[in-house]
Amino acid sequence: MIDPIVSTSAALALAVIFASAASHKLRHPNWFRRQVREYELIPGLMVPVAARALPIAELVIAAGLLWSISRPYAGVLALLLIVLYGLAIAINLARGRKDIDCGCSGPAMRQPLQPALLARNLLLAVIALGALLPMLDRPLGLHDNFVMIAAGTVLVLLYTATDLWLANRPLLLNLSGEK
Amino acid sequence: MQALIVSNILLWLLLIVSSLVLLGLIRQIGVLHSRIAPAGALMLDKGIEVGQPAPQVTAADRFGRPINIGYAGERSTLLFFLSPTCPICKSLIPAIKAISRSAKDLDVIYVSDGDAAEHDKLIAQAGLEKSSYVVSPEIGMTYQIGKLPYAALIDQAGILKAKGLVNSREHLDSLFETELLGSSTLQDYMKAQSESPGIHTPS
Repeated sequence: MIDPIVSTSAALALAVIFASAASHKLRHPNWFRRQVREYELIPGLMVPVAARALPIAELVIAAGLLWSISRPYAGVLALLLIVLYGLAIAINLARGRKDIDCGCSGPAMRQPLQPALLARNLLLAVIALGALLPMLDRPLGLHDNFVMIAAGTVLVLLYTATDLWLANRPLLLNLSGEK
Repeated sequence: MQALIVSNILLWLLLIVSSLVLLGLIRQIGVLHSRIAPAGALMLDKGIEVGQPAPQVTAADRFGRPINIGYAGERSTLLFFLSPTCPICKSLIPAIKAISRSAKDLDVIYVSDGDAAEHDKLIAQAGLEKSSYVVSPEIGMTYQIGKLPYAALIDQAGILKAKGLVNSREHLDSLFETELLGSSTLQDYMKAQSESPGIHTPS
């Protein structure tokens, strides 16, 4: 049992993160189809279907996280999707394909696959776990609501900062010649 | 209790602000990375050698006035080769203007070629109406310019003092630096440094 503040703020942040990820993929469908193909995990015929289904699933999860009734189910789905993406990255890293684009944050921010992305997905998984665990039933005041929204905002900001930081890392390594 | 709640709200707000600052900083680092990305392989320069008299060319500027390049005169000349289609050239124009303002005894001449309408647009955008702007492919050919943006510095005696591909303000400044140090290229400078005894150079 966890406090509703933890659960709600995690769900809010996760909803925003999933919605923004889905919006990248829906706005650039061709880019995302190529990205799915580059991962070389599913047969070619299934690629357009998967490229269409993934962003829709992300949107549904984002919406489901917002209501407390559907939250545990959406949380489980979110966790599954995060683990799935993590596995896709891990398999391609194990194949030694570090040169393909991660496809994580839209076509504007390219970044190659790197082990740090797994750590990022682990962070997301922890947030998803916070959203899906059963809540403690306690009366909520105005201040509780404020803290939920504030904590959700901080989580989203920190996640975005981490994402950009990870995307900058390979550029820095390139620059210092360590790669 | 009241004080605790106020302090808690304040802390949350400050935390949001500080994560915004963090995000902004990381974004800026990303922009910096994209700015210092390699702009093309450096190649060994062909054309006239630094330290030799610069080729003498006369070309008409936008208004048909003749501009002499490479002749001995009272002022040094900075030739800046650019093209309206090259974004790095455009981003360097403010730096060139600043140098033109701050350096005494220096004429800055913008050299380009191509479509006149595009040049007019660039000149209006960058506010170069009062500068010498030459649209002439001959100068570029005479000086054998293969890459843009390129700059060449000619002194009062008509000697080519420095030249090179300029991708940033630092590259531009280094043109003047080479004149100051008396070495025409970085390679020459390093060589002179390693030949003089007692100075340790990392190898």
